[in-house]
Amino acid sequence: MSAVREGARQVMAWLHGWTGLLLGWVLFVMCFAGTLSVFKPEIGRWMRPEAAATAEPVAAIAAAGNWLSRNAPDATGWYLSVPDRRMNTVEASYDSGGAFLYRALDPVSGAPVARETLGGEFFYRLHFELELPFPWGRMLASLAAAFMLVALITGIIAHRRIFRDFFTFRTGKGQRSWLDGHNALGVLALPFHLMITFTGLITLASLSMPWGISAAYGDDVAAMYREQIPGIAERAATGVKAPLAPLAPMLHEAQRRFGGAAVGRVYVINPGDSAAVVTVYRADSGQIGYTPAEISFDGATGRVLAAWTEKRPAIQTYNVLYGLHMGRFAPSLTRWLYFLGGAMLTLAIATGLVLWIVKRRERAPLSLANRVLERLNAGVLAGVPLGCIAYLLANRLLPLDMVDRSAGEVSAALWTAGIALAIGAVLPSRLAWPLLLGLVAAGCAIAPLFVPLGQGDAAILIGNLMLLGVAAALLPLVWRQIRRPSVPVSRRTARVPA
Amino acid sequence: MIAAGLLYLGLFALAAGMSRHAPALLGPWHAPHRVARLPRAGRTLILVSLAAAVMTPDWSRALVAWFGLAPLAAGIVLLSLTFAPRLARVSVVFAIALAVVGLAMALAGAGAAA
Repeated sequence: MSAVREGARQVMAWLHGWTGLLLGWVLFVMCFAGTLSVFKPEIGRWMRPEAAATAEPVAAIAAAGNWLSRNAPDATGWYLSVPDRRMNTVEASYDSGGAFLYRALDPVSGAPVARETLGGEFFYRLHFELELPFPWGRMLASLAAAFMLVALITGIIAHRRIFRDFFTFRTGKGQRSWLDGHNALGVLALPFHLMITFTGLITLASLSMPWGISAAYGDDVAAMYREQIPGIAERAATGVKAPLAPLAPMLHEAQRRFGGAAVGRVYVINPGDSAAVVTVYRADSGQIGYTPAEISFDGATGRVLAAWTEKRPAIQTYNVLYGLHMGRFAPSLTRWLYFLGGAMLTLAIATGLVLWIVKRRERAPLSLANRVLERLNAGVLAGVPLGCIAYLLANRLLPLDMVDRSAGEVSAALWTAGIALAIGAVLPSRLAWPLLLGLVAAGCAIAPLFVPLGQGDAAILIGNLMLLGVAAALLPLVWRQIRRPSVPVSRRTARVPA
Repeated sequence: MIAAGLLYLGLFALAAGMSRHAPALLGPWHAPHRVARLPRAGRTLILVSLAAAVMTPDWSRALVAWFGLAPLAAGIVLLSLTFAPRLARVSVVFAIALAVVGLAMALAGAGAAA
């Protein structure tokens, strides 16, 4: 191999290491939360065991509309998701008295169900907003995704034997094993990794690369949305009160125009105003492309204001990329494959971060900066899952009638993750890893106990089984770490070369 | 299903075609002249599997699923190579059965439609 080629490879390896390291923990959080978001509706069902009622989509939306017109008449908008086979409740986002609320509404009564929780929405928001205020969370997520794309491409170039090592995983060899694992996780699902990173960047492109939009539309972003989604009818509130016309006939009309396809979302803008607009979106589960069709009604009369079925190739391309990322089109098998791909990417990031330390530890005693990284690794890589388990446990343990209950669950998650980070920083990593992973395993083992096996619907059963599975997978790992606590500084010299 | 079965067979053949893995995967059958032909067979099987996925009526979703099945199948080969090579060989039987059942169902579906 020529010196130039080898030099280029080294540069790529350097870039791969640094792009992976700098925002590696952010990427870990994003991928972990994103992987869980594949099952956002199912997590919601797991977290609301009391909400078992089901109703026809049209009846459920009508019930939600009734409850909201009594309890949130002054909202600037109600954003409702229509129940389907995966989710039995109506997920409603709306503002009330200046605060933005998220509630799961019972499909029969329309009132919020017991056990107020964000459900899977927490992981979904964490995935691209990182619990940071707008727009910083999304900006950071965008930047991290760009780093991810660079890390993926440089990783491919830096990999010496991408095909020869395709099926290779050598255990018990220190750095070699970590590298094999990292490579296998990255290479085997490489098409998925590239797809999900690129489409993820696309979903935030209007924020990270706004110049095209500002060149074409200036500050008039509303004009851009009008052209992108022509089926929404935008108009200002008049301030004159007018009751909202019944939603059911509008939904039936929309379904007729969609050719019988299911309705996915219903947005009611300025409800209770004479200029209210009801926009009905076709379900995203019917095809890969996102937002395939929408129709807007005059809220007071139920008259059609605008209707649009997306046929423009450029927008459709964008919608397909967006839809590929969201994965809402996916039938159940494909959803599990999305979950698998996401889990592999999450583990690839985690192994990459561990590898950074293992590689340096085997050559020489770690520098101060690398010792900090080593401790941060334990705190973040085990602390984030621990925070998520705390979120699930808080869902089961907090009193049902607690004020601001859903915020309490999120606080439990963030505080736990923060404490885990502190433990990781204080304890040496050979103690922090088994302690934190042991806590994750214990949490996963305890969480299913609150709704015993055999009780509740399929989502609860499968969720419980998965938690037990994670606990069962982690226990041998923790056991191994406890039995062999001291990692030799240089394994390479301690072992017979293979 | 056809696609999934063939995909596994293709990846298995690719792995078995590598001199490093051939003894573990093929056991007594790993004669050099057979091993030499396996990579081409593996590539062909993977392409046929991709074609089988794209030829379904719902080709767009099948294509996405195909790209998801690839890491699953390759992961099974890799993990069993490391921990239990027998499992990879046993899975070949399952993969053939999957492809045959899938083919039978496709033919039955075509027969019912005709």
